[in-house]
Amino acid sequence: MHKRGLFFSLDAAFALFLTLFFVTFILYTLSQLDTSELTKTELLAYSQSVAETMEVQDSYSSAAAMSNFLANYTRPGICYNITLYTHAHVSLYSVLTPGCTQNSYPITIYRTYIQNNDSFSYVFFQGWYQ
Amino acid sequence: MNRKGFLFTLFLLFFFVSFILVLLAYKDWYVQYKDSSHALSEAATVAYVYDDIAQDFVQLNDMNDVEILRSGSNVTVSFLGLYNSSKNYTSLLHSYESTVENNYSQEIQMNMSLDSVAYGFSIPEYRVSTQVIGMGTGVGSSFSIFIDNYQNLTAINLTLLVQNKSKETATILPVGLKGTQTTVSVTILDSSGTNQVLKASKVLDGNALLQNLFQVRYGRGSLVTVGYGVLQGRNGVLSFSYDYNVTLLGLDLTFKDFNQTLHVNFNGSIDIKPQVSGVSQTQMIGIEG
Repeated sequence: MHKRGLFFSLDAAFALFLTLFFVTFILYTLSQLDTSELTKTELLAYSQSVAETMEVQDSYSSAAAMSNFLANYTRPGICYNITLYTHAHVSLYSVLTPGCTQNSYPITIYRTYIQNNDSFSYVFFQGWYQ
Repeated sequence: MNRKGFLFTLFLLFFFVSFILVLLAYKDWYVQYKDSSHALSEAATVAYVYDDIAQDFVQLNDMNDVEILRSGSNVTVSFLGLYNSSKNYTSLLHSYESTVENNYSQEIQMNMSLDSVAYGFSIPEYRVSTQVIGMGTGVGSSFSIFIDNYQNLTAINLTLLVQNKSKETATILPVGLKGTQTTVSVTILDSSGTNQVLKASKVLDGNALLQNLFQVRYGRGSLVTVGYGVLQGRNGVLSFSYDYNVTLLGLDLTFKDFNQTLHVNFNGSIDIKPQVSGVSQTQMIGIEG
């Protein structure tokens, strides 16, 4: 009985060691897969499309129009802080997606915007997942 | 019992090893996917910047509404709200060019240039080009469209709005002139935008001498005229001149369709070279259809 118990314990310990080894290896490999770059790429693509749509719909013409677009037409869970600058980089107005708090900004994009057909401005997007 | 335990251990080993092999294969695929996704993202960003500039360029040129429409054996290039004589497009375009090259390029860290920038458009398949004389001055100025391949031009439809209400006469000269090639239809509105000062249509030839065929006379000898024919030694020229500010509300050029892809190019090209990647784009601004 003593001998059998010893073998059983050794066998169980070996099995446990093997299992832990495999599980550790699997978890380590999974942790090496950095998904932040991919989510950033997706956010960038989506944000570029938002920036273009807002220009087509003339949503940069006022802070109210920008706020309205962000509140009603952007995907829930994605936040933006949008600032309109003159071409000399003077800030005109800035709008944050309602319900969002400022965070780190995984993506930033620019877009040129023509006001009243003759003055050039920039729209600066900072975007993040809520 | 021993045999069962051995088989169980073997099964577990097989299971874990298989799982790890699948995991490693997935990791390799994922790394490749991430790299290609990153490269695609850079290319998409360059395309996005190109679209951004092209969209603004077209807006500055008042050429937002351009369509290529095919119907039967004809193809029509249709412009809406093409030209406003009080606007100095040259000055605006060069100002925008400077903004893009000196400010925007710094903000997004891409080397960018706008080349060969000028107001106007061309349709290479029918050798169409434009020329504006006295842009922005309003008085004594003219807008000409050169259609070198005029033999294939079947119709012109032009609508002008003149910033004046005090018309004295509206005439179509000479009355007897009649060609066989191109139906030229002209509508001239006064500043109300609804009142038609002149509406006429004539069949003309592109190689006949251009005259002030459609003419509206205002006070003090001021004129707005539209003609089609030979100008500056070139056949197939559609031209209008004006002593008041005018807006070209609409222009349709209808050609015989040879079922080829048609390009409407605006006078300008964009060159984008990001500072940190090898993806670049050089392209003329225009539409095709």
